[in-house]
Parts: sequence; C-alpha cells; structure tokens
Amino acid sequence: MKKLLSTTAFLGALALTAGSAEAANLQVNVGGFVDFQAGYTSDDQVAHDVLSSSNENQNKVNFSTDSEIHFTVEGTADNGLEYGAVIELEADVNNTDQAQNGGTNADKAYLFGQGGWGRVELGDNTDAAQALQVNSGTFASGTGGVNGDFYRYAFATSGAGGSGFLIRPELPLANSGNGSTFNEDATKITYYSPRIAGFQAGVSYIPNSGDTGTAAFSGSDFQNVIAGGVNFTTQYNQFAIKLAATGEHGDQKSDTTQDQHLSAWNAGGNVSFAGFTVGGSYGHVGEIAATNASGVGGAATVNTVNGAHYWDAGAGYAFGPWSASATYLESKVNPAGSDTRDNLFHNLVVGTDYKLAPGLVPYAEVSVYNFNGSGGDTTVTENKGTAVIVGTQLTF
Amino acid sequence: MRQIFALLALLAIASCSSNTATDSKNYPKSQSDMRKVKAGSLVSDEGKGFSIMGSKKDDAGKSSGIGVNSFLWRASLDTISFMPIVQADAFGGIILTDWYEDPAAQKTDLRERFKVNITILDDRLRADGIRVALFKQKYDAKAGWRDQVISKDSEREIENTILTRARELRVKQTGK
Repeated sequence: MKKLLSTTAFLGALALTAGSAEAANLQVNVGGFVDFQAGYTSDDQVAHDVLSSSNENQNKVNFSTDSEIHFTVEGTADNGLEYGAVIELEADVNNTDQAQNGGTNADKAYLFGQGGWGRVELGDNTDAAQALQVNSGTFASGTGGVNGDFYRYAFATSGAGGSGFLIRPELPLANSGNGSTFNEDATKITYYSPRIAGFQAGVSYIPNSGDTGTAAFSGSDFQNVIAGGVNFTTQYNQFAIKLAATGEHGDQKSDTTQDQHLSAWNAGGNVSFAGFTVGGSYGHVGEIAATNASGVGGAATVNTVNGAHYWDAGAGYAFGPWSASATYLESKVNPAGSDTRDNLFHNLVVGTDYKLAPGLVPYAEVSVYNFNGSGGDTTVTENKGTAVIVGTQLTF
Repeated sequence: MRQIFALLALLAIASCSSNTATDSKNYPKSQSDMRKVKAGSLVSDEGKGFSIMGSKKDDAGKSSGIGVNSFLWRASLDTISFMPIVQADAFGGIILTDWYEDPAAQKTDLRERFKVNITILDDRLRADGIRVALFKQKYDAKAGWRDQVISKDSEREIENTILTRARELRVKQTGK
C-alpha cells in the first residue's frame, strides 16, 4: 500500500495536467496545373488532307492546353482517422479535356478516409487497377511516353487509328478516357490496403462503367465491374524494384452479347539502378472491346473485338532535375468476325523533361507510330507518321 | 508490479489515442497524377498548393523559434512542471529532469524517486514525435539509492499524458 502511495502521488501530479479534448484539424488547399503543348504532326492522314471537305488543308501545327484547379480538404480526427475530399475542376477554355473529360466541369471528385487500416475512396476517381499498375509509363519522361499525350497529335479522329487499335498500355477502363461505355472516372468505391512488407492491394467496385455521378441507366456500358490489383515495391541493395499485376472484370448488359464479359489483365515491372530505370508490361484484353482515347477533343471509342494484347518496354535515365526516356509499345487487336489477322499498332516515344523550378517542367517528346490494319477490318484507317510535342507544365 | 498497474490505471484517465502514420502521398495515383506530384509545386513544399482555410502552421505547432513541435514542447514542460528540470534544449528537443522524490511519500520508510528524460523527435504534432524514458530508484538503508526496473507501459502512459496536453494546447491556440 505504501508502495502504491508514492507512485500514486507521482502519477497524480502528472494526471492533473491532463484532460481530454475533441479536436479536428481541417485544412483546405488549392492547387492545380496548367499545361501548354505545341504539336507538330507529320503522318499519312494529315498529309492527305483527310478532312471531310477536299478543299481544306489540315494544319500540321496544333497547340493544346490542359488545366485544372484542385481543391483538397484534409482533416485528422482525434481517434487517428484522416479524412477529406478532393475536387479536381477542369479549367479548360473549351470545356473538354483532351478526351479526359466528357464536357463536364470536374475531372475527379471523391471523399476519402484513411488510417492504419488502409484507405477508402468514395466517388469519381482513378480505379485501383489503373493506380496500382506498373509499366514503362511509370517512369517515362515528357508526357508519359507510350502512355502519354502523343494521341492528341497522331491524327486519330474519324477512325484513323481511332477504333480497332489499342494505343496505350492500359486496361479498357483507363484506356477509354471519359467514354460512355467505359469512363476512367466512373463513380466507384475503392479500398487500398496499407503497404505491408512492400505489398499493397487495392480493389474498386464500379456498378456501371459509364456512370459518373448519376445513374444513367445506360444499356451499353458494363455492370458490376471489379478492378484491382497488387503492387509490390522493394529495395534490394542499390536496386529499386516495382512489380504489379492488375485486372478488370465486368458483365455485359446487352442480352445479345452477354457472353462478352469485360475481362482484362496486365502485369508489369520496373527496376531502377543509379538513375537508370528499365521496365515494361504485358496486357491482355478479352473478347469484349478494344478501347481507345482518340484525338484532340474526341471521345473514346469502343469496338467489339475478338481479343487484344499488348506489350511495352522502355528505359529511362534521371540525373538531378533532368530525365529522359525511350519507350515502345506494340499491340495486336483481333477484329470482330472471322478475320484471323490482327490490327497492329506500334509506337516508339523518346522524351525528355527538365525540372526548371519546383512546379515548372518544360518537356519535349517525339513519337513515331504506325497504325496497320489487318486488311480485312474495314472499320479502321491506317496511318503512320511522327508527332513532335514541345510543352511546359506548371503545377502549383 | 502493482505500482505499474496503479500508474497505468491513473494515467488511463488522461490517455489519448495515437495518430497513425499514414499519409495521402503513400497511396497510389494514376500515372498522370504522379507526374504532377513529381513536378512539385510552385507555391508549396508539400506539392499540395496553397492553403485557403485552416492554418497548417498553427495546427502543426511548427515554429521557427524552436527546432521541435511547440505544442509537444510546451506540453512536456507543463506535464513535468512539478519536477526540477536540469536541462531543457528546445533545439535538440531534450528535457532532462533531476531526481524527484514526492514530499508526501518521504514520511514513509519506503522512499523512492523518479527521473524523466523526454525527447521530442518531430516538428509535427504526432504520437510518435515524443519519447519518454522513466527512471526509478528505491532507497535502501544499507546500499543507498538503487535502480529499479520500470515498465515500458509507464513510459507510454506519460507520453500519452503529454500528447493529450499538447492537443489541449493546440485546441486552445487554434480553436480546433
């Protein structure tokens, strides 16, 4: 008892100073970016003046801007729950964001909550498969190499490389931009696990792959889509390794094509050593659809096909604020019908960027691409050529 | 053992939950978003733009005057204010007390005294930003003061008391 007394007195003195308080710490941040690009296109389609009127000439020089304002609300509750919301508003003059936006005014809008148990996102944001995937675009310089902005300048509207080709190393949801069949920002619920021993898993549930924000009761999109994957990062001596496997699965709504589920997966990896990074990925899209973000201001298109697959590989080097990369993508899409030949697409992108100041990054990229139809697929238009992009991005 | 138990029981009243060490930046983003993150931000070190509501500086207790979180610093001094302080370094974040023997307990034949070392490790107000080392000695008529084993839990409880106090101070200063 005596023993107890002295400690009690000591601790009592401590306890006197303490009380309890309920407090939250909420903060609202405004950020965003403005991106300006000048593109020069030299390809078969532009050279042949493919515009509808034969007495018009297509300009090889195009400018484009992409700008967004981001609001981020973040708070921490006393019990450790971190919560918040993100609204990414489009700030483009033409109200369409290079196929990243369907004419609406927000790119992303979602709530999140996170803690030691992981993170939950509710709303319109990137799905878990897209966020966890690893490919050559993960480290590419410029606009993102084969997963970058070349498609804005490769003359891809009016079917030239539009549908029937798979032009980016992405699964259908992510590849389609903001289409009505697949929308990369379709309303969803996503859960990410914390990273444990290098592993992080995530899964998204998307009730309707074309719905953003409202119930459209569309019959042409996919339902009950699950997109997710596992991502692994580790450091082995001087080598940094990133690996990921992601997939998507969803059901058709149409009675006539019920068997054509959305089924796609990819797997990829990166290895970095002393500033050098090499990596790539392989992806397979099942029988449903090849999807495609098409040219400037165009909407994504989806084609029913027998199947598609792609692989990409690249190498990059980063030295201080400067980085450069070369990435290559090759894809084959087997068109619908009995044609056994494939629509081939390949693209080599060499890019570089330089971080002039925090938030200010000028970049340049050259893309050499070839859209090569199967010969039997009359829905595609062949095209080959080069696009050069020079731009500056400012983030704040 | 009973001492430890009593210590825990008492401090449980004042205990608080700890922050988890998560961060939005650690969660996966699309490649285009990551590109923006890598580019950094023209107006903020953290790449999150500028604050329009909620002053992060006040909330976090960051201060150019001292090298550690000011709430944790003041809360630590407050909490052990009844003990004599030998050394307090606001830049290194170290508070060392002298041996303290509770006057109320001195009357008994069982004498014991305590010493606390507090290390503040972070300029943010977070649960892992503070470390407490507690020492106890018992008086032995033959051998003088002898060191005693003390439970890690007791140290945790003191840390929690300080964290609660820090939170109170923050509420008082920032109103949230």
